[in-house]
Amino acid sequence: MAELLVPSLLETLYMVLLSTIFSILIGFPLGILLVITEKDNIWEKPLLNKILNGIINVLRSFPFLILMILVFPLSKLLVGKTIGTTATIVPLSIAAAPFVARVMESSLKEVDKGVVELSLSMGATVSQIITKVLIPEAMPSLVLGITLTIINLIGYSAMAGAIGGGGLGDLAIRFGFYRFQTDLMIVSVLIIILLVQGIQYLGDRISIKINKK
Amino acid sequence: MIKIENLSKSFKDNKDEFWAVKNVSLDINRGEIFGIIGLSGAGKSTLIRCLNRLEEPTEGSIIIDGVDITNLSKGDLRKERKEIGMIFQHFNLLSQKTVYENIAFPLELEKMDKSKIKERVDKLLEYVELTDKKNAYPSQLSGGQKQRVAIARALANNPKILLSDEGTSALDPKTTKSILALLSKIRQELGVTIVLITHQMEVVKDICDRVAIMENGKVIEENTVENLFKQPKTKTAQAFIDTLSSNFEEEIINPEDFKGKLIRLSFLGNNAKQPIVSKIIRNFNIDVNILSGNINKLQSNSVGHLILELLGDCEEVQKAIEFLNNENVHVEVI
Repeated sequence: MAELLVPSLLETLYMVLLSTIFSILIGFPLGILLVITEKDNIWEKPLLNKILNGIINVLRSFPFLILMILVFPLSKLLVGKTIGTTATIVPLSIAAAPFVARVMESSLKEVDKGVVELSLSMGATVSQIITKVLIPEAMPSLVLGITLTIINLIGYSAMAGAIGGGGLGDLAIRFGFYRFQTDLMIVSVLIIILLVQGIQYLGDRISIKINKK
Repeated sequence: MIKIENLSKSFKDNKDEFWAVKNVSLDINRGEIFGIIGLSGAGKSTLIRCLNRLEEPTEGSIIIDGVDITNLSKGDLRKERKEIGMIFQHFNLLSQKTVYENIAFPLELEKMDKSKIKERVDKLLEYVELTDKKNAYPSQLSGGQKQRVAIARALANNPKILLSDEGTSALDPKTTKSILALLSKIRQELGVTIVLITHQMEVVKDICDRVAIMENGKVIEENTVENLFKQPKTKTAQAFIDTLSSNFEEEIINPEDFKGKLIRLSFLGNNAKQPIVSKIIRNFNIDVNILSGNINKLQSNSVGHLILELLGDCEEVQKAIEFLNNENVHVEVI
């Protein structure tokens, strides 16, 4: 059993880790843009704000499996194939990026308007406000957002298993369900549960630890 | 130094246009503490925010040291803003940064080098008497301490003007005094011109040289504080002065300065018709000294207060107090 579980666990961790990184790289800047281009914010651009909102809503509406199939050509272009653990990182990142953008947006919006106003009164530039005020002030909330993203991606990665992504979800379905190895299915699911619990616990602890408010 | 000419600011809400500030002209001199007082909604907050263009004026001009602020480009405005410090009602400290980092913040924006920042911040910490709180976070500070940090931060760039947007409104009376004393000291020692808005007459009385009274977006009276108290021109000004009377007695009357026993009598409405003071002088072997008296109008009734000093034999004084108690007058020994 272990010889099946260990590689699957590693595949899941690999998929989740890389797609978390990529989805944050895409989603975080989008989240910042969503906030600052809003009306009465520090870089008011109503049209850009509308377009971004539209794109993000459309992307978030796609059922994940359909999105995976739709980005096959992109996966092929980026990693040279459409199935396999590495290839799955592409749709996972794309699916999670708009989610990340929304989570980051709501965290950044929690930052007290007063401190932004204060920064403006001291002659801060837009980029200084983003890097020195918005992000540090929102950090505890951002950490929770990233935690949420990782957990979401664990769920997505299990689904990705269905079209050849590998990982624990794939193991649970293929061996546990189709081949009636119930014990394997249960253990796979248990590991996923433990993973989610552990990450949530860790995320909560870090957020509390760094929060000085 | 600051010349505000015909300044107006309107807010558009769908099709309705609302003039928060209408045709305001003021001259503020170098080194003075200028107060703008008004009730909430009078437009004072909008006015002070126009001075560093946190609000964009709709019409009119603001000239600071010969430079028209209203025409500055974004880059020039940023430079000018560094010359104008600002403090706020709710302090606006960065919650995730220490006291030290908060004060260093404007200097970091300037990309000043670390050792110079340290030198400057340490000096500022000393100036506002918070050196021991250097590594504390805002959540660990009292309101007064938070405002001191905010003041130190506002002073970091050596501004020529300090704007205070209800800087003492969230503080208790005692802390308010200490913050006002600090602002006074800043004006005196650093020559900073201070423009403050407030709804508390006490603030105006305590530290302002001149004051403008705002109502419905307009300045309805501009006066030196002295003349305002001597001869207010408008009803609003009088009303603001009246808010002070009940606060006066606490300040001037300190029981330790008097030999006799101090008591505060409170009368409600009709109770005041009895000649109680002369009665206690006649009936008991004591002397009475009237220290202060006032009447406060409440929603349904009026409450009168009288502060007396009773001089004489301890026993006689005690009897007099008992007598007063029996006369249905509330007696409080101070």
